[in-house]
Amino acid sequence: MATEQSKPVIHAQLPRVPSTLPVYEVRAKTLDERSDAIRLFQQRLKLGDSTPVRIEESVRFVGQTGEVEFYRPSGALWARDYASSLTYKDERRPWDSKIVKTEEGPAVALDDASHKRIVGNAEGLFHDAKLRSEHAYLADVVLDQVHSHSPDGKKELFPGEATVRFLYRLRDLRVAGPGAKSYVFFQEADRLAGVYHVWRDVVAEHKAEATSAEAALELWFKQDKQIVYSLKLGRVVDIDSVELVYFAMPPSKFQDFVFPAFRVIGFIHDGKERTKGTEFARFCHALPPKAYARANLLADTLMIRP
Amino acid sequence: MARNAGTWWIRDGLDDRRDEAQGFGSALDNVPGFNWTTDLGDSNVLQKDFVETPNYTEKVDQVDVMFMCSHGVYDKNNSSTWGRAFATSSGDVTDSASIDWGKNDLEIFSSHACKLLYHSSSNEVWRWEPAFKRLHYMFGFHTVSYSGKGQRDRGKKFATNAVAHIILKLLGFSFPAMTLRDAWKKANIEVEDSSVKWAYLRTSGNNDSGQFVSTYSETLEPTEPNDPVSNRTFYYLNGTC
Repeated sequence: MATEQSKPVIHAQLPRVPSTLPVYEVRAKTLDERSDAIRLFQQRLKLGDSTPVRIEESVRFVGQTGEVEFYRPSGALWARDYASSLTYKDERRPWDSKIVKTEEGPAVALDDASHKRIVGNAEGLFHDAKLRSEHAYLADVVLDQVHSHSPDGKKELFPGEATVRFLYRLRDLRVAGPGAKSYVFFQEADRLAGVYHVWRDVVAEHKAEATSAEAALELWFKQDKQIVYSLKLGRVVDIDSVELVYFAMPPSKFQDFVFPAFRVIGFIHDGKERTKGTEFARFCHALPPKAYARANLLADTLMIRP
Repeated sequence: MARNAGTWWIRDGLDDRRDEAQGFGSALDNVPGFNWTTDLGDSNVLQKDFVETPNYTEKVDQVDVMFMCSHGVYDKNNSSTWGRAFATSSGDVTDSASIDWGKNDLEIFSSHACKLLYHSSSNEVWRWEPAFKRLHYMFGFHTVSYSGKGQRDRGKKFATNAVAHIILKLLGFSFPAMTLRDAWKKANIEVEDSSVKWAYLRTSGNNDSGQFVSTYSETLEPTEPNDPVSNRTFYYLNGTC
């Protein structure tokens, strides 16, 4: 018979949490405020005449070869030429590239000149669209890794579409979650495939009293339904990684405050066969609801699990 | 004849995981030419519905497209075990099991199970090739994926992206169809953290008549596509969410 554990086992080194943490009030740009960027993306992607179609939370400007989607809850934009990939016979793209070593084996990366060129193109595009933020930083260029395995057994690796990634930071903390990304997608150095931008403008900085990471996680352990369920069944929950971040919600969700959160990676197993189990990844609040109430910051997103 | 959609989900306490899968089915059910015919959760998610079982018709092969919320099962400290199994309520489905997806109907398999499509030089994703009887695509992740409120819309978004051209056609627009691979990428870029990597495994090859079928530009349509069954080349991609 399984023995019920009282709480997860923390293997991770917990982050030090300051006694107070900033909480950022944010605001979504309106459609009117995004209209210049929408027009620019339509032109650069050569999408042709477009018609606005309202579908659920978005307004989608539908063109002949693609669309620009405006997400009303966040002011985010997705622009894509869906026809751009159809001129190729498969996912391989003709980049000047090189093979680099990684922990997972050989990987393909752009050569320095191509890398520099598309980063410059991406920076220029966001500049022209007036979408640059003081909180954004160039993170990297991610090249889709295209592996093929042919009938004769030949295995090959090729470069695919490239993504220039700008991510976000508030003070010294990474803004994690789906809602803090600015990407530019390229088929080739001078062939733009699309743009994705989700970032809500910071309009005010508030402060809230923080508890220790241990105390915040103790509260979360009691509230997270998968953890409660797993412990009740006698499973063992390992907490392997805890990172203090800010959390930004998906573009289709309303969010008034970007709040401190823990990015948690854990592992659930039966306690007997520790070599077999299921991993999980979750964001949880780093501050308890009472901290927000004391700071007079009242919003449902500060109370319920992300 | 309509195409059928199926959803499988194991909540493990999180209703979001059920909603994530059911969002896929309900989104397709509203589109002409598609029916959501299978929805199985928790204790009804059975290994025998994914693995060849004598005198039994696997339920996964009674649908054309499916979405599953389950778990990748592995040893977190041993990457050679990653991506080799996913959980059901009656046992794990492993890459070494007898699997013939597409034997009857299935073309599209999609799952958010962590690391199911992990690939490295010492643990290649080609391990799933034998499962491709007549299957076109496996959609999943190279890394862990998240579960929670933020990811609840993944299934709905994947389905909605894939059939947007059909919906817009009803409104009188000629909209370029989003390929299935673009639909998966977009859905996951919208709902996942930037540390996560989407992945897919697909195959192109000859159909039963010996004609070449490319799945590269495959879109989700109400009509049955041709299946690549011989002389096949497999393609695997991963990229950033």
